[in-house]
Amino acid sequence: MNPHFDFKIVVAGPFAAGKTTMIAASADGPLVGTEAPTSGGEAAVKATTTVGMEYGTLAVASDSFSVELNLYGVPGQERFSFMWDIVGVGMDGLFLLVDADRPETWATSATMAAHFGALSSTPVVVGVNRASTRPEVVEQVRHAVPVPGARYIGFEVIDPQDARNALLELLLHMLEQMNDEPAAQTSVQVATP
Amino acid sequence: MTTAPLQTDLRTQAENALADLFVAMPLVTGSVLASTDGHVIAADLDEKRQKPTAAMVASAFALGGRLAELNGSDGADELTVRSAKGFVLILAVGTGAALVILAQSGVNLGLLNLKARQLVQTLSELLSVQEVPGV
Repeated sequence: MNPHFDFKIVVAGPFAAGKTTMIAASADGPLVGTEAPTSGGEAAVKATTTVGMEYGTLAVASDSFSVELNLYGVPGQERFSFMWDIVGVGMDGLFLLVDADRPETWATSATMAAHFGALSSTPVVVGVNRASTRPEVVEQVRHAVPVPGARYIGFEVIDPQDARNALLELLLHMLEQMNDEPAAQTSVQVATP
Repeated sequence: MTTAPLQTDLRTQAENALADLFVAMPLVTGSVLASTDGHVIAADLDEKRQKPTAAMVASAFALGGRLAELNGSDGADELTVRSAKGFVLILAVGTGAALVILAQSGVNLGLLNLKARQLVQTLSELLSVQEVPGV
């Protein structure tokens, strides 16, 4: 029987970056979520927001092992930064979401990257939402949100296949760091497409 | 419903109600009425502790609501945190807000629970004036 691994991945990013959408699109089943109606200025952006955390899982299989990715979403607003510290404990990888169309939020993404980077030196993938066909925006984000050792990808959070591939990119990054060698030959796919 | 900041007179009324509890119960050390998305609606607590308290209440209350689903309920009515130095009570106020009361250990918990429920009733009535139907 192939070995099985459980990994904890934190999905972070500014308010309204698409964290909940991404986890919902990629997870195998329904999420455990903590949405509350927005008020004040945030209500103009969207109707509800994550105030605690989200949790969902994604099963991944390869020829030689199986993995369960435990996906944890955190609130994006600074006032909930205590949840970043709580949820960040024991994470194996960080997926940082950046919104290609809202450059004014990129500085907040950088702040979050620094916050989580101080908690743990886990592998990071910076995912640029709405940039699957815009590599030039991904390059801009690479400079605006510099995270040492991170990989940068453009993708669409609402597309389940895209969202899962983005998480697989992080998984490969994590496996490479574990083995300290490229995992280029490793082929992984979601267990239940 | 949305819980936009209360109009000043309503905020004053809410804060008067919070202060009444503070006066009636000497071991109560503070209280905050928070929106479920973590903003301060009214408070009887030092200024610098108000915002972080409101945010923590929103997170805890939302997680408490998910825990309540384990019993088949739709959300939480109240949470109690008991610790070496006292109690933190969180009570739902309508559907868009929660009240947190901080009290030192030794407080008369029965009386506090009674007064807290009366306070919740008062605060819900104040908030309902602000409710925007259908939002």
